[in-house]
Amino acid sequence: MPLLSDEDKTAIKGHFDLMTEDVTVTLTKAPGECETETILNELSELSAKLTLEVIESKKESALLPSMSIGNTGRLIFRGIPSGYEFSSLLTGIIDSGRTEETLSQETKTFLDNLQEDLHIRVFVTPTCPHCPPSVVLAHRMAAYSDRVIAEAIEANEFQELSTKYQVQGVPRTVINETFAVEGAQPEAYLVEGLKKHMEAGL
Amino acid sequence: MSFSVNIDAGLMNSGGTNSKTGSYQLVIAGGGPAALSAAIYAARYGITHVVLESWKPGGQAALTAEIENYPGFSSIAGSDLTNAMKKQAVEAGAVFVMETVESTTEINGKIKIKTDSAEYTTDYLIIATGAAPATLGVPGESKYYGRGVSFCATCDAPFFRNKKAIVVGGGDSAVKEALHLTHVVSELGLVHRRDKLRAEPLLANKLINNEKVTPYWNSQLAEVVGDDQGVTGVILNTPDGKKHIDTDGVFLYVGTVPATEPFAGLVDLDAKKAVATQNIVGTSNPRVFAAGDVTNNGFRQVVTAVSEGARASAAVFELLEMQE
Repeated sequence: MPLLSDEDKTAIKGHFDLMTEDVTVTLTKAPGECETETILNELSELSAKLTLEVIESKKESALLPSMSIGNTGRLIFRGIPSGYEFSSLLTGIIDSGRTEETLSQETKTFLDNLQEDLHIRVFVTPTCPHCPPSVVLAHRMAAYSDRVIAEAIEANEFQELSTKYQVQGVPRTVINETFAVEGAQPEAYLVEGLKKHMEAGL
Repeated sequence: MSFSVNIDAGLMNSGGTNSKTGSYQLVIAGGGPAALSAAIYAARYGITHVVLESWKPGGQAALTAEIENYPGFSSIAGSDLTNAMKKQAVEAGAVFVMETVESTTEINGKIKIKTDSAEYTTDYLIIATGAAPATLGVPGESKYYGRGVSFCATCDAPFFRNKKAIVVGGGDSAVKEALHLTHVVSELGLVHRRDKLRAEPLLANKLINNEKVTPYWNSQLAEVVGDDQGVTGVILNTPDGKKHIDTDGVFLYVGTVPATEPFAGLVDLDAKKAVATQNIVGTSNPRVFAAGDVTNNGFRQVVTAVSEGARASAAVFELLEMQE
């Protein structure tokens, strides 16, 4: 039985029409059935511009399944993209499939001047309406700058990571292990906070 | 297993350089039910507009696990309801951007609005920015925010599966979210400063009769305590003195603070910083209307918010018609 309803498919097709470029989503998963693969397969059938590649990992990993959007390897999702995380995934795919710029000039200037790499981990749950903006912002920053890697992590599914990064509320954005922000932060506020933190020595 | 997905068109269309900077007949500030209803009506009236939905789409209603008193639905998840409203608004032609209002001024009969990433000029403004959860200011509250202290049971409940939690508050929000938590936690304390809940009796009785719930009447949260891993307990002021309770999570529903700071110089506010309304959606400024929880209209429900949003857009439409 398909996971996406006909109504969902029609709506998604409409959004995929915004894409002008081809996009590949790479799924890395453990052997066996995987709900994430099912949903990605259904998505890839909705647009000729979207291709799914599946890599079956030979060894067990606590970090699987993971998805990478585009060819950079810097836009990563960990977990089943259900609920609100589905809109984050869709936005990531559509952003990658069009040339429209999505960040403010201030953010781009900040990213252009980065002297060190940023690894952004955004912890989310599928029931969190305020999480997608945080994920989308992190992914847009990673899409723009090759100094940025952005991971969206479904906190319930990846308990070890959640424990390691002390996640008990979402969205929680952790950057380079040392800087953490609670709640949905507007683009300008996140960049401002990051700047201050980096000036103090990230 | 049920599988549900959320498809948010507004999110996909948002972004710094996608902002709709420019001049409009109407700007609607907010993303909750009042703003969404105003957006539906504004779009259908053909008013040129933009909705500044902030970075918290759906507002407080989207964070409500179940809404049981919105006509037409015996029970619906708050986020499903606000998503349906937004979908309806987008289909009607409403234009959304994910921006938060920072300041407003009035110059030569036009309202200037500065957001976190753009500037707008408009003939009319509907303030529907809602309210943010109030905090108590007790020790440990901000220190452990996101590490056991939460304002969103819908978002964060899974972190407390088979653990202990407490809810502070006695109104509708506190009781609804406490009921949601009873499905997840092993034990739930309910801390209320009075000896009776203010919430609607149907919900209140359901909660109090739940075997997982222990009420602490006439009690107040004095401190949140914890360690490197997060919250470990709370200290309450009870009629019998200070009492320590072990808990992993603290959910606060102690009222709200209207999100009016950017509008303080534009319209009159009441003593609680809510927009002081006239004839339900009017304000002290004839170019500005207000709807929903940001106002001092009292009864704060989704059903009243959407009603006020509709009235506000209708009022703007009438004024624009008179100008022609």
